[in-house]
Amino acid sequence: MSLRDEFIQGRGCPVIDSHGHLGPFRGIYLPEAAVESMIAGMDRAGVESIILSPHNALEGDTREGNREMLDAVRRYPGRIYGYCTLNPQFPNDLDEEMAACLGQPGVVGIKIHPSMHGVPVGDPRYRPVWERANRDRLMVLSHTWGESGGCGHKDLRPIAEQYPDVRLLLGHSCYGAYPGAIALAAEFPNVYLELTAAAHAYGLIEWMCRDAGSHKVLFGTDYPWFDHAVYIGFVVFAHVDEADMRNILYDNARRLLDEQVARTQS
Amino acid sequence: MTIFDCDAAYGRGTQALPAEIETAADLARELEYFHIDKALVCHRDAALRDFELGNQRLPELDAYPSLHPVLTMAPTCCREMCSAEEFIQRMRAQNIRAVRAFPAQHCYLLDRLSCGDLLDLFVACSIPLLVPLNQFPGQWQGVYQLMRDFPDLTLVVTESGCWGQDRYFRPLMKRYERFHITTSRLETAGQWQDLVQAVGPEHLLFGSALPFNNPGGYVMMLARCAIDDEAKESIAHGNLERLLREVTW
Repeated sequence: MSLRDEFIQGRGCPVIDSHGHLGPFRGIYLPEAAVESMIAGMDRAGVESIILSPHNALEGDTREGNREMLDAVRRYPGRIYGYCTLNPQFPNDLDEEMAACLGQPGVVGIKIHPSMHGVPVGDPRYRPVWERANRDRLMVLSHTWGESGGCGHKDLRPIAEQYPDVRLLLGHSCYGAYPGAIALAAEFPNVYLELTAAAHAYGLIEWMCRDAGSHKVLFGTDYPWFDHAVYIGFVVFAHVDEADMRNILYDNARRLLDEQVARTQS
Repeated sequence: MTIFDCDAAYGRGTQALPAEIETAADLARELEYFHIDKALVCHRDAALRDFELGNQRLPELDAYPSLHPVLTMAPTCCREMCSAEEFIQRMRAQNIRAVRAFPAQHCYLLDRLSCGDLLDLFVACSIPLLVPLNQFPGQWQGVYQLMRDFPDLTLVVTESGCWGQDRYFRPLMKRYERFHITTSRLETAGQWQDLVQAVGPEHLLFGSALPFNNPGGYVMMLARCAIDDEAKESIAHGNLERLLREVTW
């Protein structure tokens, strides 16, 4: 039986979501925004683990949001991993937040949102973040969108060049500017494409696998924004072979997670 | 489970897509790959170039039993289109049971003043009208105005947005029996089951918006979402088949 048919019947392979959130956001109706609902939804879809940053860390008080992240990680070990969110609008918080979060069990990387926080990735205020991530070989999930404007592929290229040990995850794969994002992932061993919001485009996953390789593509959903079943469907109905699907759905994220977990345990 | 897609197209535009579906044969083959049994189809020329150029391509579908043609309308005011009555006669002659409209792209308002002659006949004949959300000025405000003016219109809003739209479309579903949306970009976590619990499955039609969207996500959602099999059958094909049966040209 094909992997696609296995998923249709409710089985399939394990799945790791590398781009999640938690909690309400700007009053938008999200039926599964509470952490308990998220775990139930993950159980329903067969998602083993998610790596998340709470909405509160992005849009509200980053420090409070990071505490929500730490609480969720402690309550659901192995199901929920966390990104330490860093907002360079408050540069004095950066060291304190990194000290409080990075190295904690289950905290596996950093989340930045250059457009929401109004600070381009190349701004000097981000330098301590990149330097720490490069030193510790951390995953950094950056919101990316378009060609430029602070978090497009043209903005990320110098970061990928300058910090080769950062595991740089292009959240949304520079939505709408896919040729540049795919070229970046193909060129730099430390750059990964992430599927949130982008995966619906017919033929895009095939293009990513062909030009960057499926080992550079990560499953992500912005959950509780997008439904895991829909996104799993985008992957397993793509015209790629099953080894590629397994890379995207699980193996790539597992490899990155294991590296980070081993680092925190050591 | 039979899947009947109400929103598929073929043909190339000037902007390259990640993958193209250029011909009717390509479309028929891809629908089969995605486990979709049949589809309502238009040629992209109808939106991108000229409604009539697109309509004239529809005989290309004749060789493919899974592909069912949809005519694209325009207002009758500029006399580049036939009269409303002749348009309905053409639909009957070609056994076409649904119409598409692209008012923003084609520079007109889908309202009583501009299109009342056609819309009154669509209501009288129960003909479904499919319109992408982004083709309404003011988006949902435009949809609300159209439904206020034509409360018995069989309207199908396609590509209604990937999150945060429930507070716009649920009041329409509760108020207007013949208002529908499609599954394309209906991707919010838990949304399908939440929607079905709140208003039932009758207002939701399977629509992929292929070649813009990968239909596999919506096919998987049909298989895996936590709603009963009867509701899934309604969404997958039953609701659309009922609407098409109700057409009385």
